[in-house]
Amino acid sequence: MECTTHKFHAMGTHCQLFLYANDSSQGEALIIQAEAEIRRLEAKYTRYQENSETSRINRSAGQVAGIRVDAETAALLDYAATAYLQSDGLFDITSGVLRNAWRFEQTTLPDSDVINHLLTRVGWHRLQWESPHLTLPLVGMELDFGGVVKEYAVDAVVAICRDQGCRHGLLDMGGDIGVIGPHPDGSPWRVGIRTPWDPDRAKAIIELSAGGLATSGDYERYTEIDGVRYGHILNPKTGWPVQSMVSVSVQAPRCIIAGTASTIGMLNGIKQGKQWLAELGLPYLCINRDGSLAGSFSTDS
Amino acid sequence: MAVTEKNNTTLSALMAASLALPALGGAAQAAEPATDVSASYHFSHYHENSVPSSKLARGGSERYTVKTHQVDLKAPFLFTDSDIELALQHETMSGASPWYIEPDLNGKPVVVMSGATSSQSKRLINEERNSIQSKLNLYRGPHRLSLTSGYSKEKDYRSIQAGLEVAKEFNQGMTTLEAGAGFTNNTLNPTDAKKYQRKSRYHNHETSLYGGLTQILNRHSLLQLSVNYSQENGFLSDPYKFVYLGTKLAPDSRPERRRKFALLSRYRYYIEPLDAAVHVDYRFFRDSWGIHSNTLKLAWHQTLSHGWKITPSIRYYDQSQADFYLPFSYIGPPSNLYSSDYRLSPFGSISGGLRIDKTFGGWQFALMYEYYRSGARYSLNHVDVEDPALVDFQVLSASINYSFGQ
Repeated sequence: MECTTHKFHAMGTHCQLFLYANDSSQGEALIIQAEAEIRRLEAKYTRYQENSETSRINRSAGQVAGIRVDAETAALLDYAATAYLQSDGLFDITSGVLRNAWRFEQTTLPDSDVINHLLTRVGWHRLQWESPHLTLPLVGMELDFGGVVKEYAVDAVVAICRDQGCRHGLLDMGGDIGVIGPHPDGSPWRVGIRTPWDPDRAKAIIELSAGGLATSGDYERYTEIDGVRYGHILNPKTGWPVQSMVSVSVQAPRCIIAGTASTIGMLNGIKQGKQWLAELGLPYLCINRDGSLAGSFSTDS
Repeated sequence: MAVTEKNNTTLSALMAASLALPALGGAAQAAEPATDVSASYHFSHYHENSVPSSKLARGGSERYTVKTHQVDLKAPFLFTDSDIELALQHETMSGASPWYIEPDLNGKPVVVMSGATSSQSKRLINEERNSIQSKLNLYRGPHRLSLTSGYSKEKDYRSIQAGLEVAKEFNQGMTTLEAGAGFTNNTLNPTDAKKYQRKSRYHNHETSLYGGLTQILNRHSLLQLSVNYSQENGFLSDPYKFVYLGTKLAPDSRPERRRKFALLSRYRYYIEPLDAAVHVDYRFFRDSWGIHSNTLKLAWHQTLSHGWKITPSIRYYDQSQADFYLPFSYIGPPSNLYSSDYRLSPFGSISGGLRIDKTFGGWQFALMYEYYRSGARYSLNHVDVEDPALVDFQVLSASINYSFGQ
């Protein structure tokens, strides 16, 4: 079996699908279906298109009657509700409006009144969610599925490939990784975790044969104001960027769980984040500010 | 840092919520209307082994052969959040069936088959049965309401049924509760009624109730429990069977009421490293006729590459006899109820099966084979007299399914 590679751009990131197909027609069919599924989810949940499901939901903000969502969106909302609850309110898909205060090209800190005003529009607890009925009671509230949909898309593609009998392959969507199965000889995929200051060299190599891996970090988007570094990961309770590790990578049975866990790890800050991850019990790897590694992965560095 | 599992509730909660995501083959499908049209065709060939000459008194040794053609359709229905399932079946039956049991010269029971006498020749059966069944499912959030109906017609038999089912999911789809009720009305018009000492028309009806619970235990396992209760009233005897009572042949005579109770449990365990699943099904049954039975079925579902799947299975069954079961009697009967139907006799059975599935784009193909053997030797209990009409059979079936819009 030969490994087919398919590279494309979707959901604002570079995607690479590596497949060992039984024959070229199966490989081609899987690539088409995988990309179609990712594009379907992108079109459905993007914030940037008027006719997306996310836009439809956000347009309903302030309408007392609320709206009815389909089963897939309902399952994603249920998932988000679980993540909110399990993170004590840190993982919150309503926190996107805070972006209006933190533009990462700015050179001054935002006004605390602006943040406080935006915070009145943030909070999963402010929603009324009775599946399949959703109400965003306040004008200006917004949902952002960005924190779950890319990982969900990774898992969906893995499920499609496995359903069709493909047992060897990997999908990488900008560091969110789903494993269809190991190489045909049984050897695991070797995935590099990059460092912010040396993006061409892997800081650590993680071996994966199944499940998913996701990394959350603020090394890609941050701003420095008066010598203090502000990342793009915002605490939905304070409205301020969290001071945390450079990145957190988590391995989980599914990419969506890896993504949620790495985000919650980051949101909890340096000390509590590591404790939360250790208690979660999934293999994880943190890159500290000084470049040192911490976590429960056995890695080659 | 060492890995601890203190916070495992968090992981289980996230895992459970992710399992409900539809693109990941989630449990949310239970309360999800069909969005594509799917159609399937199923053919099966059921063949009963001949009666061995040592157990045959008179008549042909050939038994039943049944060929079944079935077409299933599932499609979205007129309203949103609904779908409809239709099943059309055409069956042809040929062969002969046990008529009654008599003792041979040594007092050993032997079977007399239908068609043994000229007046019986019409019972050398060539019959057909047609049936249609429909199910309309309405979905609203985690609720499902289904209305079922069915009609089945044979030359001497007509059956009409209707039912209602409700299901509700809880717990982000991890738990499903179901309840249902059904009613069936049957009319029998025995052919050659006079020769069989029968009326030309009989009725019976059955009312059934059931309740079920499906619980996803974790991402590897699932448990289903259900309880069924039903009651049949009316003419429940077999109009074509007799009982040998020494001086005469008496028509099969069973109680006019039968209450049945069954408890089913199904357990599924997915073995991730092998990409295989173990299914363990157990059924306990008892009825007011004195029959109690146990069924255990084990199946191994093995996924292979290239869209292939192979499923070997084994099933064991054991039942006690009905209170009024009587293979034959030299003198008059102990009561006015008696039947020598082998299905009411004490026996055990064992069957083995193999199923092969292949998925190819929107197509699914399946080929199944089952071999079934029954007898006193398979029973857990001591059987005094083995019914000579106990049957061995084999079934070969094939199906093809296509989902449009994939």
